[in-house]
Amino acid sequence: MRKLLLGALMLWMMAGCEPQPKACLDWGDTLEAGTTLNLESCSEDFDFLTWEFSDDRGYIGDNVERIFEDETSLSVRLTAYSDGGYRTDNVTHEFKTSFRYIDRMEVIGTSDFASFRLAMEGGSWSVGGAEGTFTEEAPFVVYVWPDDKQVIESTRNGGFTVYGVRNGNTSNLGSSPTYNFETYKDNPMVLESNFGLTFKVFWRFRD
Amino acid sequence: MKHFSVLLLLFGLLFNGVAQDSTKVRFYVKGSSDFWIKLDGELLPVRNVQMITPGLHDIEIWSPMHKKYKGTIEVPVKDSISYYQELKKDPEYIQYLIQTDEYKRKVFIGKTAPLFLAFSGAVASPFLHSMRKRWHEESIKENFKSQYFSSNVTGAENVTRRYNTVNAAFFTSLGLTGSGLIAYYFTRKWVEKLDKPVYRQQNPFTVEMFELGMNPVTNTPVVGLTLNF
Repeated sequence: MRKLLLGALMLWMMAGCEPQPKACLDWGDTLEAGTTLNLESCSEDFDFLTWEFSDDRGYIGDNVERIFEDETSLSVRLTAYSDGGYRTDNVTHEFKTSFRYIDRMEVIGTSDFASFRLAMEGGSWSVGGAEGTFTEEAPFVVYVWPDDKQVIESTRNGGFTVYGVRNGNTSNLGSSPTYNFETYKDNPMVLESNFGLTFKVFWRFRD
Repeated sequence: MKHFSVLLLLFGLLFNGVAQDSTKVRFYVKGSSDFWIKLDGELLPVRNVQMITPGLHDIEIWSPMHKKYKGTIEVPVKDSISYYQELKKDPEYIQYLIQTDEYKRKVFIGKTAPLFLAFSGAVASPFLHSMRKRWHEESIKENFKSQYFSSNVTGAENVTRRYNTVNAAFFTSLGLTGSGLIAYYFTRKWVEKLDKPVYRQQNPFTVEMFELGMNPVTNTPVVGLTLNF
């Protein structure tokens, strides 16, 4: 009888020993707006997570898939729960959301185009004198400038298109009609065209 | 073995002692189905129908846990008669039964009940703890959902109510375990000191013959026994 009671007590104690969860977020200060994000945490020893964003949106799950429609400043409170939810840990992370802004485009390769044009919703930038051979060290550069006010929010409208102008004819140089920001996340985005040219598009978030 | 030997003895007597001009007497002994009859100092076969010669006879009837009856029986010249006799319980046996009940009650209070409560609580608590965890998790999630993206407030309240019920049951089981063990700790010495009542049967039988031997066929020990009272 004593052994039985002791066994039951040990079983209960074993069932009651849950590790302390640790809530963790290792995002940067900025998340991209206008695109579907899969937000993950670096939490440990948890059974489930709750996410409470300051825009009154809440989620339950190991990760969150959501789109931030606008540029704004937000915070998220992540709570990690142990099995049963009796032990918790939380962390609050403040961040801002921003669309991606294109700074410049570098063209590498041998070009017989007179000019390249970088087109986005809201405007296009064209630079002539594009004939010649361009290398990593000395690329052909199309700047999006003169200042931040003229930078186009590319992501919202899906992407951008690169054109080459030759003998008065304009050719779409992308492998598809547009380079979609949903697909290309690296900075710079390295894009291969059908004309043996490589485009490196450098981008940044709004400060 | 004892009964078997008595039976052997009684069968022996049966084949020797039945007179032809006898009356069939049916014995109805109230109080026990197992009884022995001694008529004029002679043990009768163990059965409730006896062939007895008419006349006045001394009779003794005994049954376990009963007082031995002593009296006389007038057997008429008839085909058959019935003889009724009620045996009274042995007062010591009645006392023994009362003491046994008291003893069992004390053992139940001091040992069985506390250990049963402790055992029940100990067995139930892990399961209740598991259920409690599940419902606690559910209540957190449902409350979170109702706060952010679900209008089902009733669902969250139901889950919370279930959690509260299971939680209460869990702590009750812990209380049962703890209180049962504590109660047993304090009562176990008292229970150990309790004397179990013993009833010593006043057996009227005496051993007239006792013989040990070996069965040559089965090669096992056998006991021969003759009893009388």
